[in-house]
Amino acid sequence: MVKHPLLRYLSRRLIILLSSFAVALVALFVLLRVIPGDPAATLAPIGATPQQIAAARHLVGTDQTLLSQFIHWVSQISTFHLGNSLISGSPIAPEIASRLRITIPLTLISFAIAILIAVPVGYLAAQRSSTWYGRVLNTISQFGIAIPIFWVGLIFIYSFALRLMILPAGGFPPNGWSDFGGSLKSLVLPVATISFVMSASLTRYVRSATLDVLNSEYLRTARALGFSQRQAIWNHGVRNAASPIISILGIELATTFVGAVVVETVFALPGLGSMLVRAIQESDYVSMQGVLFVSTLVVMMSGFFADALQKWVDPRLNRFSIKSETQ
Amino acid sequence: MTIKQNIGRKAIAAAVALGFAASLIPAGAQASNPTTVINVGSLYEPQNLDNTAGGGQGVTEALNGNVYEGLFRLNDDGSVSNLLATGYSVSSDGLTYTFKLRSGVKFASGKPLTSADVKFSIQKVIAPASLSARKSSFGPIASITTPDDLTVVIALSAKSISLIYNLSYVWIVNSTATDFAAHADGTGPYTFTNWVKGSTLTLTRNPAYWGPGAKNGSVVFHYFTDATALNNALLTGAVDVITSVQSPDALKQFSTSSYKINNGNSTTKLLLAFNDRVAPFNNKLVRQAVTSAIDRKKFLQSVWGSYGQVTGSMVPPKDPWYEDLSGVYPYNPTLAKAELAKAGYPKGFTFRLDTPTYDPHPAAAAFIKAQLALVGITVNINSVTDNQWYLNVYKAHDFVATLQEHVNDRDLVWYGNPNFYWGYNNPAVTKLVNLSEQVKSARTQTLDLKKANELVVADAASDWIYLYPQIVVATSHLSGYPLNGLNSQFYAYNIVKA
Repeated sequence: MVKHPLLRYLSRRLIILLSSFAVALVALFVLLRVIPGDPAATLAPIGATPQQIAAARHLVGTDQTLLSQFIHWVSQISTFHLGNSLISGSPIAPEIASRLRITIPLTLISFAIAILIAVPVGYLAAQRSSTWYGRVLNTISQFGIAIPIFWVGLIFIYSFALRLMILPAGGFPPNGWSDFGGSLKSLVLPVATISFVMSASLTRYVRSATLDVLNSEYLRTARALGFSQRQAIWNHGVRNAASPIISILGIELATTFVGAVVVETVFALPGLGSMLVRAIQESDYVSMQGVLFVSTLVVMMSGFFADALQKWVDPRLNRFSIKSETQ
Repeated sequence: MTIKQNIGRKAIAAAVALGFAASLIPAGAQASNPTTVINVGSLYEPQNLDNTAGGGQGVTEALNGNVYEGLFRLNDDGSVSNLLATGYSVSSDGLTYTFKLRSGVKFASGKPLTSADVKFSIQKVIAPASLSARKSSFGPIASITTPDDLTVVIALSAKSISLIYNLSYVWIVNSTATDFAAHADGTGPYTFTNWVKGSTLTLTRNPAYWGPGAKNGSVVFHYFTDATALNNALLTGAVDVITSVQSPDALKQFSTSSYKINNGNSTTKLLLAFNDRVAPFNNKLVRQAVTSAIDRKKFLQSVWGSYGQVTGSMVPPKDPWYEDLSGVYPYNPTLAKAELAKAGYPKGFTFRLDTPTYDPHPAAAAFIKAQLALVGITVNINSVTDNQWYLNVYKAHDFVATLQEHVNDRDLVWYGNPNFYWGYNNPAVTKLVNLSEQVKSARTQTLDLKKANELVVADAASDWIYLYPQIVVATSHLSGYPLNGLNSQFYAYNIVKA
């Protein structure tokens, strides 16, 4: 029996995570099968004989029952094999791993930069909310939220690649990260695009959380007890403001990871998103399942870690949950 | 699944299609440089590396003639020349072909080429598991024997005048190799180096090549899913040449001295294909009326500006049996109305037009709808995905009319197959198409198919809206690249940079 309340909470949360994951697996499998289309049709040539169609179906395994396809898939997942692509015939796990080498750095670097921008800007926008530049910052972030990410990408490409010609418009070096400089250069504009859009929305959250804290009674009490504004915010405000922001960050991280599909298409990056797009175009269920499986895992894990971090940062949540558990 | 994908992108289609041997921009006086890297931008990434397992157009574009070679090579004018075969002889009854192989040829792996590899390669194409539609064109092959290492004998059960031409589509692979989907071991001027899925495919000059050798050091195919990203890559110098331009609007940005826009020969046709089995299109008069009611030149102009061509038939100018039939059904809505009345539809009718969702089909559907409304015909546009098209239109024939691209050349022969999706059934055409394969001379074949084409057009079996342009754009310091038929192959070995 786990004694520590935080660990107890986490183990309960882990059980929920695993059950949600099992449900997600079934949903994923079923939803992909109800989409009209036949992967064998993608492989079979024009003028294909019924025998060729049957051969194609056998090749891709769609001649099996749904149940046996599902059992086969789950048994593959348990060994992290994830199956072979219906179209290329090659195992998809190494391909996913290779594409994650682009999507993960793209997501994490963008995320880190967005936080580095959003936290000070959001704080400043809140603290100076009544001044003209507080309003300007707020307007800029509103603007950032309103424009679609692909458009930001196109503007960046136009400005920095086509006009100034200082950065590549897209693509990734043929030898990948072994060309470290080239790889980093390829990621500058995609990272800038995601960071710009993400920091705009994060700024709004930080501003709103900071405003809540600044207007709170406990901060006024702290000031009345003789703390300076800075001390009061540092000792009491930050943790309080951090709690909702962490929860938003968990969602934002997952959204960015999944949403990288748009940026990867605009910048022709061979990441997980572009793999998904191609799999959809080719009705390659196995590749789709593989990519969505990994994406589901990332989304659920980021939610899990955000929850855990939130618990750790905000002790009140612990107390409430302990109380509720002991009631 | 579209005809384009099946025939073009998959490069495994039309059983009797003429290949696109590259016509090359002359490399001029530029010297070859075995250290130069040629960066090629393409929208056609291979699905796998095996052209008998659904590798797609991309694998032909990257590997055909570059890594893999056939017994014969297709040239730009449609002629066929020896490649791995030094020659062949035909028996007097036309049923036995004896091929002599070039000696001293080795695969990239070092294994010498033998007749066993040739036999294995042909059998791979015609095997039951083969997904190559080329397979049906080898139907007459009765046996393949290998009397010695450099001789292959093919016995036929029926004459096949297109055999040599068809063999130019068969890649000679290493018979001891495995995993053709992920690796390539050919005899060509390049060796396959690596393929980063979703990104690039790299070929490196083969120093042990039996022929003159590539004029550049390596070729990197960069793959894009977005046409704008592809164009940007050329504008920023990330690639030296792009193998297809998707719209004339994109050409404006290349109209400077830094780029060369090449208007090559295409074989891709946009068709309004009627289901000739069902009413009202089982009536020739109705098909003729609809064809006369659509101003094809106006539509081509609106989509491609001054590029492209209205041919008035399935046969592109590169096919030997081409003739300009664009004048058979000039735009004439008055005549169309009269023909409709004569056919029993004085007030017109309503039909469903199954329309693929990607360009230019939706625009074509809207144009056709507007034009046919003027003669009293109501068109209900029904958007269909590739797979829906394949299953409902192509497989189940559950359609009235559809729009579709047909990529390959020499695909007139589909009108000789009454079971094809459009259900055109004219015994005279079927007979001519079948006979054309049995004849002794190419001239007779040409005459037969010309006659067949005239019959097909007279029946207005389909409405051939227009022939696409084939536009290749490259930086002006590049030369030696192929101009035509990029939807099936892209010979890279003559490309040099100034």
